[in-house]
Amino acid sequence: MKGLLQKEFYQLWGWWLVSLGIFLAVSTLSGTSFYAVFAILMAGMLPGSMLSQDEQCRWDSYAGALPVSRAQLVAAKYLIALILIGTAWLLACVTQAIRLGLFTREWVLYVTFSLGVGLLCPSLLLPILFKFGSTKGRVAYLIGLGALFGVVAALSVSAEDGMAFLGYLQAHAALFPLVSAALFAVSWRLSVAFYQRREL
Amino acid sequence: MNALELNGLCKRWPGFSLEDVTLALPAGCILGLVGENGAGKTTTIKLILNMLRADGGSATVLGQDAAALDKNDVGVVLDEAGLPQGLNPGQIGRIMSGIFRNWDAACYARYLDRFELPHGKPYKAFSRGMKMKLAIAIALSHNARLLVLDEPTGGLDPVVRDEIVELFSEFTRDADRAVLISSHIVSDLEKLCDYIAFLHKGRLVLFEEKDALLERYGLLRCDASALDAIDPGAVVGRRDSAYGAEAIVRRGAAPAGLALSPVGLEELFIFMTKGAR
Repeated sequence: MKGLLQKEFYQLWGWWLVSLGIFLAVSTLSGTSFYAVFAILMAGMLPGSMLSQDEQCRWDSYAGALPVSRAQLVAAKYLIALILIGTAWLLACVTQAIRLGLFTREWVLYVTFSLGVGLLCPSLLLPILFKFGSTKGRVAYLIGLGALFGVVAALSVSAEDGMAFLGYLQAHAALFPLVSAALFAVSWRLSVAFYQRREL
Repeated sequence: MNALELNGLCKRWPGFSLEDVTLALPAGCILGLVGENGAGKTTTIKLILNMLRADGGSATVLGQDAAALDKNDVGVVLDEAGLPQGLNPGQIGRIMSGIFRNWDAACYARYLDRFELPHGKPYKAFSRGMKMKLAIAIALSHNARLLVLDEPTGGLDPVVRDEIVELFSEFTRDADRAVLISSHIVSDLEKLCDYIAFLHKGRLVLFEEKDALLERYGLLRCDASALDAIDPGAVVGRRDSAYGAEAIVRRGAAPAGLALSPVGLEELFIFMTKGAR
């Protein structure tokens, strides 16, 4: 496991820290939370990109011949997701505290919402990639996402409904990271089950 | 003890199936897996390494079922080396030390130097030959008892190939170790192997000790009419040209008095493949 995590770090850590620094600096200087949330979102997407890279260079096949289990190969991606999201989230919490003030309503909303969003992305993406591979998996992910937005759009019959939904989300913001964390755990189990059955 | 035993191993896909592969590789020996492109060599290797699920039969590796194999004991080189593009041999060595229980960093550094692989150069800048050498260095640096090598000498120049073949040969001087190697470069296998397994279109056409195999067959050069007079059961494969005919013949089944030349593995492989078509 140590070797697998080391591989992920070597491949993206330096690049990731620089990108994160830029996003957080822009967010603080521009006075908007968007870039800080985007940095966390990106942290959640990186393990999926690493899986695509692994397939391109055939590391996925080679790793199948190494003394590591399929569960460990999956765990490496989920752990690196947690480390990247955690780092981005903690640093973003600090920079946003400077901008919004510590424990203000906006800051607490930001902290809960960004963590929930960060965890949601790999939870949805990784099982699909482990099941179908990166090429088919991305197509399946986009179709699924499109269908989800379609359903949301169909349900939001008016702007008032949309605002009411947003208000509902704000009122229950504290639950969002908990739901995402639960989804993350389910997603991890699913990915292990999918990858155990995959032929390399 | 056998380092590797395959019993009736099968894998079926639409359009291709590997059927009933049965062979055994004794410890201390080298087995060469020969076959044309798509014959099933890589499939066999992936089944041995439990990268694919068999549809029938069994694979026992170092006394363990392939599904429960401790891969710390197996050194692997795949056709595509499969290492991360942006990393250099130094970083790859540190990754492997976190993966293999018996990783020998000093041994790895010696192989990098021996193969003249720069420690700090990214893998993506390596030639195919350098990539294969790096994969071989990894396979030889964790005290493996079995090497499983899929086309390891592809892309290497003849001098380096000769050196690598010698390395694999050295590896089996310890009687507990064994090597399974697939290659298109049959001359390498002829130098190296104790046993030969010949796959054709997913079937194991023959599996035999190399020396016995080469003694069993002879190369006959004569005119086509003389060849036609020989029992077809004695002829493994033939090639007709304007200047006469050549055939690989079973010495035991050929008429006495025929002038048969010794046959090389490459000729045997080519004639058998064409004969089977």
